[in-house]
Amino acid sequence: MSSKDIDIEFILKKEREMKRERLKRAWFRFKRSKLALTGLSIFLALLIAATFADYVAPYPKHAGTYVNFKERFQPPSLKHLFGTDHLGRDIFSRVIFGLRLAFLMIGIVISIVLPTGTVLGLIAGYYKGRWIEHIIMRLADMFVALPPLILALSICAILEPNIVNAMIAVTLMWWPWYTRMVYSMTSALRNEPYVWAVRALGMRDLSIMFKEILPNILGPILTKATLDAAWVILIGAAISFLGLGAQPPTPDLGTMVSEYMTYFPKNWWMILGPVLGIAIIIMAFNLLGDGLREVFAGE
Amino acid sequence: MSEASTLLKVEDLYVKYRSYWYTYHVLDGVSIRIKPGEKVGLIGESGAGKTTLLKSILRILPPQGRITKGKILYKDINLLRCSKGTLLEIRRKKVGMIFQDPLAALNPVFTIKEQMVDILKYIYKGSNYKKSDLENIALELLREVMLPDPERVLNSYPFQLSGGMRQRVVIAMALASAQELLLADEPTTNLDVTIQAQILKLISNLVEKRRLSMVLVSHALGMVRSMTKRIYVMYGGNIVEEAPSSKLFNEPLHPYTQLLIENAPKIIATKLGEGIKGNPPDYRYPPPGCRFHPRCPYAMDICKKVKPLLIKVNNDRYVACHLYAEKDMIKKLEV
Amino acid sequence: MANTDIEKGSEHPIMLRLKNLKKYFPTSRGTVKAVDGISLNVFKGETLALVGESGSGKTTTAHVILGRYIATEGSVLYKNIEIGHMPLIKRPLWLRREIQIVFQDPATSLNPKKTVKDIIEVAIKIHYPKLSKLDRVERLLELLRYVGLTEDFLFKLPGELGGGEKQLVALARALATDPKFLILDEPTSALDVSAQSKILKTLLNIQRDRRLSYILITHDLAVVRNISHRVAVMYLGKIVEKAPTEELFSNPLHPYTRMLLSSIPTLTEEESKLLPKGIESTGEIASAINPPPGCRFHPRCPYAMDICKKMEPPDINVSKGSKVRIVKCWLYAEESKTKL
Repeated sequence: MSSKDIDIEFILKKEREMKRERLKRAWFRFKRSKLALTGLSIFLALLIAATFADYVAPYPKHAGTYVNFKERFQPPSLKHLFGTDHLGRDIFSRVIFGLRLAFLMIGIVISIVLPTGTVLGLIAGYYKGRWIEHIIMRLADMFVALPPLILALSICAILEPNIVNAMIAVTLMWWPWYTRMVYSMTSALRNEPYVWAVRALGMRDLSIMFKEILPNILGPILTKATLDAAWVILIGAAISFLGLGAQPPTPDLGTMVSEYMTYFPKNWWMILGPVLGIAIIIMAFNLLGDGLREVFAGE
Repeated sequence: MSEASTLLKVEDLYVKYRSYWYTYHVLDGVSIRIKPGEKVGLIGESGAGKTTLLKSILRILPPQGRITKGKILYKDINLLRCSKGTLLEIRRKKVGMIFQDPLAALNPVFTIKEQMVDILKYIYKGSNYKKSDLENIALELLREVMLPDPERVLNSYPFQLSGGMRQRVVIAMALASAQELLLADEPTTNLDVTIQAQILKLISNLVEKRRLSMVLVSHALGMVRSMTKRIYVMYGGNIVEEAPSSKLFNEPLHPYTQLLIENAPKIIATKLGEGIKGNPPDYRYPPPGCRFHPRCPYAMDICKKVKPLLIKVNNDRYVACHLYAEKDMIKKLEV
Repeated sequence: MANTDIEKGSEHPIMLRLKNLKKYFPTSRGTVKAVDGISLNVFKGETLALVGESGSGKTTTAHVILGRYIATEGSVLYKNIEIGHMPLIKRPLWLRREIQIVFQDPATSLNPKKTVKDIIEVAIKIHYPKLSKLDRVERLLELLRYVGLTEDFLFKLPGELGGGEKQLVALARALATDPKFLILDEPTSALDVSAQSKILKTLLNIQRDRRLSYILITHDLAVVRNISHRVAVMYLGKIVEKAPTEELFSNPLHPYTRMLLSSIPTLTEEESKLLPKGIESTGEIASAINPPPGCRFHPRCPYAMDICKKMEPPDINVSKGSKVRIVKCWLYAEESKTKL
């Protein structure tokens, strides 16, 4: 009995080692792309700045309803990196809080869309040809058929224009794309011999979907999610820009661009801050996505 | 054998593939020669470098593959040095190649006619053939490969043809440019044994009729035996043995060839072999010395250090193995 | 008509019995009659090889037995239980445990994202849920060693294994459930020569140790010769000849069998002498949508007679002694007592 115990301990240790080794190799593949590494660094920097916005931003109070007419319309300076706005608020601080909002939005949208879209896609793809496939896919088609921005705008217009409804709108227009992608990959994989092999072993359908098929399509899904994060921000910003998303004084990047547009081009620097904020976060996600693609492609 | 009687000569060829971070040392000093009208076989398992060798001869290696050393002489032309025009001329007129996968070699969205005329246009570039002439040549070629109802085939798309018919079309296309040498890369993989027999017979007849030389590459040993006069055995990017087809299978010399033949399932009831232990070499880190030594039951110390050269052990037998070098040495010493 | 009664004379119990099995696939161009009325038995502890060209219906037959397709007509009896109309997901667990499959290409039959341990462990988990983790690993190691692999392979991914090793892992997975019946779907045709004989040898050992029954689907007659006891030759959805392996190779009766044998490329003169002479491969297998009338092989048959074009030949019993031989060819009609 004791020899057995040693045996299994050794094997479990080896399993952990192998897992670590695989992670190391994946990191190696990611690392070899300078751009992906840049993307990751920017991403982490932004994330830290957004999380600790209260400490990072020079004037945390300026994020809300702060007014200081003495300092309004200041051009960029060391004191105010991006200048100040029409109410005398420090734009740099507001952009940092704007990033926090953007990350929150991405986090919430992706964490709803990713699981829902994936599960629906798995089910539809696995049961291709059955009624459940038709229900899911026709529903997805309906959402896909509507131009995304118009769909989002109408939802925000019908409901009250605020940040939560903007997120609901983005979520609603996004899930079908995941469902369709997962659907097509699943329906291609469901007849692979390795799936038939575990079916012959008696594995249940749900287990097959999640344990056998999902690991094989996770790479593309995560890559797409990362690349899409940039779009979520862009659409969110567009909704806000049109006045249907977050309302002032919420420090949302899109709302800020729309607010400060009024003072363009005379006080051109005002929109510079939020626009740069949007651009850099999109870039970070895109580079990160490319890096992930590399990691998964190399396997 | 004099230079003049050699049609193709590959000398000490090294080919490497580079990926982003690995270098694959595939061909490791390969030398072969083919006389005019000779039929030569190249056998070895998948990944032995057979296709790489053929592609090197035609200089159609993928961009990450590079010939780092060696010579390829076609008659007196060094294919590694010659001008692009000469190379194209040889590809167009002298040497034809039958590719491995007939489905991949044919474009699914064009009819056979369109594809053949395209190739013929390229082959007869400069001559003033009209399109109808080229179509006639195509038709003639399809007749030559014994396709029933060639007119219908000419107007078909690849998916409308069976595997055997597709392979015949691919052979017809190769014939168009093969006036001296035919390189056949696994011409019957994925075909049924009956169709395989038909295709082999066709290739043999055509080669005979047109007086072509041929290099037949395959991992199907029996097939190569029946089709060729002389066989090169490849393992891990090296030629390990060269022998007349009639002798190789009865008396293989190299341990790899011996194991290969011993393990090939036969239709005579014999004991099944044990298989060859281990896996083919990892071209990123090929074993030093003889590349077969990690799998070889007779491996000696020297095998791990020194690469054996292809040496003559008999009139027409060559083998790259230290076992024979030593015997030779011993003989010499005894004398 | 069917001669299954004679086959029953064996001392081994019948594991699997196909009775007039048909499997049709409706397509836009017509019905593909992939399997069109075949009958055969597989006894305990024996290997039956199902041989034929692609398009002969042998793989379809295997997948009907597995439960991937359900039979259009006729029956599949496993231990006298009708399973031909039971899709895989409706089959009880014990049945799935007893009938296992080894696929042709080990590169696609192993999940590329799973380690060898995960791949085999799944089978144990499903069928022996009460085993402790320790016992599971123990059993897993036993299986790996049994097929000739070591614990070094446990945490490798399929991509890190050679072709033969992959197929051994697939074999270990199939054995994990302690099956009684293995479907071998071209188990060696995707492998290199050096790996083939190892797999065949392992298969023979397993059969000897555990008295498994195999149905071997293959087009490689050399493989058949080496591991099967009896052979059924299929052509366009029909079985044209059934014979013990030795008999089939030494004295092939059906012209199609002879054509198949004569097409084998041989390694030695000795082997070549064993092959039938005077028949040459011609033509190609017809479409299963519109099979030729009468004997389906007649357009390719050098011995075709008038009757072959009109009437389908019956199964003719040409058994001698205890060796059951059946051939579906008019050439042997005169010799037959069971003429239609």
